[in-house]
Amino acid sequence: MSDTRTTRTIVFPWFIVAAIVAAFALHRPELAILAAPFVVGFVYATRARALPTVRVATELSSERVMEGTAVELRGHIDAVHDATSLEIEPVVAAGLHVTPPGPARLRVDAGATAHVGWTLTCRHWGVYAVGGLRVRVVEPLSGREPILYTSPRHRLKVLPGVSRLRTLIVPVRTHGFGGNDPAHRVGEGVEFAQVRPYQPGDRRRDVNWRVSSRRGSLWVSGRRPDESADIVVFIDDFLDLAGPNGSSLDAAVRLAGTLAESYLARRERVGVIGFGGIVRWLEPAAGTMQHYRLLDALLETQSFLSYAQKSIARIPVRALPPGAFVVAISPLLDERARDALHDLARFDTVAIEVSAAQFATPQRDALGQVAYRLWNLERAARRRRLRNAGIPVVEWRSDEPVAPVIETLERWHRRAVVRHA
Amino acid sequence: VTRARAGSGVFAAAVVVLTRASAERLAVTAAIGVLAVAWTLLVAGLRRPVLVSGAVALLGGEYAVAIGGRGSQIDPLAPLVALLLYATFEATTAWTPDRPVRVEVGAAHHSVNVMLRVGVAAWMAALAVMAGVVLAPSGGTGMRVSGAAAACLAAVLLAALARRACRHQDAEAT
Repeated sequence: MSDTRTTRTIVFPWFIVAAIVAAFALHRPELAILAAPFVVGFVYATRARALPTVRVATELSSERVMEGTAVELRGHIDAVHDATSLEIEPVVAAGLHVTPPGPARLRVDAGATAHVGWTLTCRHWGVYAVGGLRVRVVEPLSGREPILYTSPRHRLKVLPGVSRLRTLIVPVRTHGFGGNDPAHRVGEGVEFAQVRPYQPGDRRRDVNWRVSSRRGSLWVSGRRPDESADIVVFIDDFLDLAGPNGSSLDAAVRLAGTLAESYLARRERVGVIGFGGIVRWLEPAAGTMQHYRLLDALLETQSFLSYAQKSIARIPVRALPPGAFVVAISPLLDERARDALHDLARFDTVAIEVSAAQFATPQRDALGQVAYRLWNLERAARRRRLRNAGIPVVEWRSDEPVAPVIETLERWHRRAVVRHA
Repeated sequence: VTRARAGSGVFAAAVVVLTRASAERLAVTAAIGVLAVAWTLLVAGLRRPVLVSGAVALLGGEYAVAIGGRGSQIDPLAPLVALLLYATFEATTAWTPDRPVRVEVGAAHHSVNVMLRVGVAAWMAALAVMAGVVLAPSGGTGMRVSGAAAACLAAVLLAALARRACRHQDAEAT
């Protein structure tokens, strides 16, 4: 609990003394009369008061919501003694929009319970401390306003908003079982792959009788097993470019969430690597639990300033397994991230460049225009170098839908695979 | 809030009207009065209660200038001016928060009740001082000495009250 002194306790003594001094100096007793109400006001403001005892409880309608949705914060105030004027305000972290704004002032009689509520709109993904109510005893005409805090009790997780992708980039290498991707090898599966002459050990049910009757010998059908792939979403968080409608890292995290959810829905094993000032990773896995683990990992994505050299050699093999399909999301501005992408060329990698151009405003003078064009040319040259290294890369503006970018990448990736084969 | 702002302006304007300045000081008092009322309205409009003390000081100064031109006769409206000055301060301070506050009916009734009670007490105090001034014999060394003693007593009282308030805060903090 703490006190805030109001202007009454500071200003009134000065008024009173000034009025009395002026009354004597000017020989006008009326000025002393002016001081009388302020003396009464000062005495009332500084009188000793018993603080009301209140118990405050809060609850959130949900502790895990999607970006852009709203949650209800409800407060319940039990008064042990009469609380004639309580000002109650939610203490929420910046980034949450509170409706209605500002505090509520109410009276709670002894033994009664008052209920107040606010709507918190979550405009930006992240983890927020929420639920503490700041309760002030706001006695009218008082000189002090004691504050009774309740500690924050809730953590609100606002998950990044994701969009649906109809097309996904199909990884080249698959392994294991239980996925939706037809494997490149022939084995037991559903999808037809080839016919070949019968060999001892082949099962009778694999015999392709139609082909066998035409050719006069036994032929069997080969099929592709359904397998899953290791998908690693690689986020470059060395830099975070701020813009009026969010930052580059915001866009990268939303895109990573979209990709992770879409690939998990295809029963792939998905992991994430945050490559920046701090290198973090989550090993690829499949399933609903992994979905939540991925979202939690994405919520912790932040840009940390660091001058240290980073290399993907520091990333353990389990987080970046051989044969993994890597989807890199980067503004391609930091040299260390670009070097890491070149190192990732030995994997099956595609890159999505979060366009830095949308966060830059070119200067209007001729020199500024030339500099802006040069900068864009330099960015195009970086993309070309990555393509030459075997990494298809597409520029994406975060205010545009991502589906066309993924479709373009899928086409390029397929071409690159065919060329490589 | 709109009513509170209007109330602040009305109280401040009433103080100016009640000064009844003499002819030779009319221009000065009118200028200060207009400035004080404008300041009060500005404070109420900008929701900056911190600045209200300046407006009240200006209003008090305007009254001091106005009554300076009078003779030895005591202004009978002084208690009313004092009450309006206090009301101007409270109306502008208490009802111009820097953020919008949802005030429930029960809390609003309590506030009005307290303000009325303190207002009546302030009015009575002003009348009591006025009665003391009128009834006391004018002039003389005895009167001056008693006045000085009253001023000292007021200062001591203020210091004691402030000290008590600080002690009370410390006790609550521990």
